[in-house]
Amino acid sequence: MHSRTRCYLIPTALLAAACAATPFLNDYVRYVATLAAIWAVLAVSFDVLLGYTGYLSLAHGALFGVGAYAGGLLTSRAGWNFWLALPVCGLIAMVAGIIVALLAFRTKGLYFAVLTLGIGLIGHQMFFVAEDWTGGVVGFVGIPSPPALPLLTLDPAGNNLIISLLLLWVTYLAAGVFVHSPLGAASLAIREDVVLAQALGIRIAAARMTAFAFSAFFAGTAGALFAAISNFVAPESFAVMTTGFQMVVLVVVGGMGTLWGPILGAILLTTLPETLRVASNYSLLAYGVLLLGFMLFAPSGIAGLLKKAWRARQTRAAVAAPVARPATEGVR
Amino acid sequence: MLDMLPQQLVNGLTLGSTYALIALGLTLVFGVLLIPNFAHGELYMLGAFSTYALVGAGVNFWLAVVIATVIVIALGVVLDRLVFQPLDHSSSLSLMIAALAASIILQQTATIIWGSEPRTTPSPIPGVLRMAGFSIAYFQIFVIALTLAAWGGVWLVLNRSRLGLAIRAVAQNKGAAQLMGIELRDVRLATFAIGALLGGLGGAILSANFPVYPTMGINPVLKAFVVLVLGGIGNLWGAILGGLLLGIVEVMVAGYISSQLQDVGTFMILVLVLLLRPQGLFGRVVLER
Amino acid sequence: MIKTPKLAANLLFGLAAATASMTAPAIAQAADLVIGEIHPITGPAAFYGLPESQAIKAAADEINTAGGVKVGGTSYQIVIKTADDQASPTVGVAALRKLLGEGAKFIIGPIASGVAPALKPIIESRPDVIQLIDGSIADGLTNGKTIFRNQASVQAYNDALTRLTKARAYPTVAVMTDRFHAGFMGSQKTLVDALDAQGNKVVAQEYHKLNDTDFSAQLTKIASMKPSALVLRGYPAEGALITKTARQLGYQGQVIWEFVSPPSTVLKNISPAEMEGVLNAIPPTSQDYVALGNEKALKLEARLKKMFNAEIGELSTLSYDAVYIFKAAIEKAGTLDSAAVAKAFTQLKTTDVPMAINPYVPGKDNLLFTDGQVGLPGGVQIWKGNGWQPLADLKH
Repeated sequence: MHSRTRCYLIPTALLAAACAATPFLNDYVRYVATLAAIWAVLAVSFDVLLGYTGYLSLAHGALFGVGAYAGGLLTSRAGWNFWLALPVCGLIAMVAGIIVALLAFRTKGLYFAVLTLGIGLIGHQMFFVAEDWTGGVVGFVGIPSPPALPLLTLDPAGNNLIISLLLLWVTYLAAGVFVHSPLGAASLAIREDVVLAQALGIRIAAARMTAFAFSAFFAGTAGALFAAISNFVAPESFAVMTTGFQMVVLVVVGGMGTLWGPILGAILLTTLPETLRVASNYSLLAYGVLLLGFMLFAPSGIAGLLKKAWRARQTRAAVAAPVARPATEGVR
Repeated sequence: MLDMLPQQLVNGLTLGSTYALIALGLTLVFGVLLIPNFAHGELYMLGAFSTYALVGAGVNFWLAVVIATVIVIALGVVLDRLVFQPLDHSSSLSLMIAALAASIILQQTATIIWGSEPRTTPSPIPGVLRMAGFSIAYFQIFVIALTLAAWGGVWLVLNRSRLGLAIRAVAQNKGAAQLMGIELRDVRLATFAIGALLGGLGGAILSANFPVYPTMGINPVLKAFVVLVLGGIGNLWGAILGGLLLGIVEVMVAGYISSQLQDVGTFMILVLVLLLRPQGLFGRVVLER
Repeated sequence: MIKTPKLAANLLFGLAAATASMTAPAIAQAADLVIGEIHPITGPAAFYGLPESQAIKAAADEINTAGGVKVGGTSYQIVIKTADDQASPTVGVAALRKLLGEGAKFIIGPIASGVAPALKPIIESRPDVIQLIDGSIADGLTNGKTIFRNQASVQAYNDALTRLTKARAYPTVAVMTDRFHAGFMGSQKTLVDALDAQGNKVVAQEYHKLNDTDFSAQLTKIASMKPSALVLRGYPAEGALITKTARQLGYQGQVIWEFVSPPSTVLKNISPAEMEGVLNAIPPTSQDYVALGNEKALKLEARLKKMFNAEIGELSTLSYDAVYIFKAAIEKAGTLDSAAVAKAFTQLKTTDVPMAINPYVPGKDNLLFTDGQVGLPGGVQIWKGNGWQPLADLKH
């Protein structure tokens, strides 16, 4: 399994490189990088559902919010340890996600998208209405920051960045495990042709539910981390038309159906508004133009573009160095 | 409590008629051309801004509405040519995101040109009709009448004209329609033009009903998608009835349950309907599991 | 699985990071005093935020022309660094971090009630940063040590409102609040309790939100109860439509607004005739000071016209005052050291800032700030003709 080992080795090496670079970046860059990493977690896990299984869910913004508010409640009101709270928030979001999935999988295609849109919108409204739990429109204040990592003496910004990168690494590896498992293969079959998959006896219910639960778990975990890093959450961070759609855009621009594509999408679209130091109207306009450009000219996303470039290079290399003929050939 | 009922029903009908008007254009484009046109809200918004600007420059309201609608039809056709036609053979996900991107571009352009301050066109029909159990503005009566007239007009075109026949044929079976000699390009142009007409007209008229601003199209198009799901995609009847139903439900929830839960009520209905009838209230049953 | 693109991922990351740090602005000169400001320069709240940003720049220009800020023998020229928060907490946090990353220690802003609570934990985690809030009215934002506010709190608005309703002895009141407005929602309970306690029975509490286009359901409910007064807490465009709809549904009682509403915005959405007699429980605005002939306000108006060809905004005088308050505190401390300046803030008297336009009410010992909050009383205005006028006698 040589390529399999490389699957795990390369991301680990990149993680180490990114972590090593952390102390040399200034505070603001570290903040943007942390956000990019959290969005990358969302994008990679969302791609498992959208890119690999073929279901477009617009409820994941609300699931991200469930994780964030759960994180706030557990760490600030119940005094839990952050490291324990993090996976538990993922589990809470996963349970919420499973409930949503049980309702939503009765429909498919566009109706699935609209149903999850409705659920996402309801969830977003509930963050306002359930004031006693969420703080309502005023927001949830006083969420404690993540504790410092042992052995490393880092300031909060660097600490947050390393924790986010670690979460991204875990998410990526877990997604890799899922995708290479039988459930992952079943998911691909569902994406291609549900009826045929069923006819072939593939257990589609288990596969797509697992994909949904997986994406919900990591959305919740990312939410809890986001809450701890911001020390504050408000419902406006979990709206469907912004956050919910943003996840879709990250995956599609990054490259659906690849796991590393969405990471690139997250990096590009998080750093873009920050590097465009002009009036926000123009930066949003640029975002729209970029998005349209991708849809029209690069529908397979950044991953697609890079793959094409890689293949083109390989073709050029093959043409330049023709295969040597065996010595015995030609003498008949 | 019950004494408020007539007024609340009237409120629901007037609100619902605005939803129906917007949903009508969307359902046509979506049902016939299979384009989830998120940018429909921006066609609506541009109709509103054009009308406000023209009236502000001294043009008579009704003339302004006509001019604005023509402008939006032209814009709609351009939108189709630039954004949707190149993606004709792509997945509906690509179409949806492209429409979203077009939406953002149009919103930001409008913000840059006009700014984000809300403004309302002065109403051309002032005055309120006061009856025993309720009151309704004359302009609101006009909007309801216009919605029904628009529906009637689209129905006539679809069912009593050659163009309509061609459109319906394409909606039923694109391949067979082509074999029968129907020009797909003409049908596409006509459908998009009618859709844009309805969106622009809606925006133009409603610019006198409530404030106009660059992002005013986001919520209506969201509600329009809900109406489409309730009423069935491509179903004209469904767009009107679904819109009116949605308006009534929203008002009833806000009026009789709690105004804090107004949005929750709307989408709860959507979720319930889809759970009980995954194809919508009036949609055809699609065999799937 | 193709490995190279993962490398490209990190390269892109590095590129983005490098670009971000490379586009850092020019380093301020040694004799420069950097003040950062966070306001909605673009986006839906721009018509509140941009005039405030412009007023800050106008004040800095005025101070610099007059010789700058004098500290220990050196004259410092004020350099304003502007960050756009688009009235969104997430963008606001990024904007603040950007400013802090550029070395700004003195911050003026924000306006949006939703942004301020998001910034608070960051400011408090940096004991060397001082914030002066010039726009946001929500409760619980100041801490009296490093976070101060020279705008009236929502409590001041509510106090003016309750004084009005008490003077006019309304037996019943209905309240219609924007449930997405943090400042109004946060103070809703206190207001309702206060009204009930003084005999203005609150018979209905209804909600709407920014960008709603239909209020008929809520207003039908309210109208059926025939309250003597209807209090609106939200934004001008919705306020205008609510007022119109209320009259259309037959409501005849007194309509009272509680939010800053530039007449130009109001008149774009409702006719003057329909606004006649509407009351507004807000403190005097910058335009009011101009109309009253306040010399400093007139000078500011002229300077804004000259520098930006822009009109003075409702809250412009607050932002203008904020710059002068910082100047006063720094000169009082005699140093740019944050701890000393923060201490100077707590010791500032109202007489220490003679260039301020707004009439701050001195607290104990004539101090400008009490627990970080200035005394800026609310007021009541009445719509007559094409704009607001101060209501001298609350009873009529």
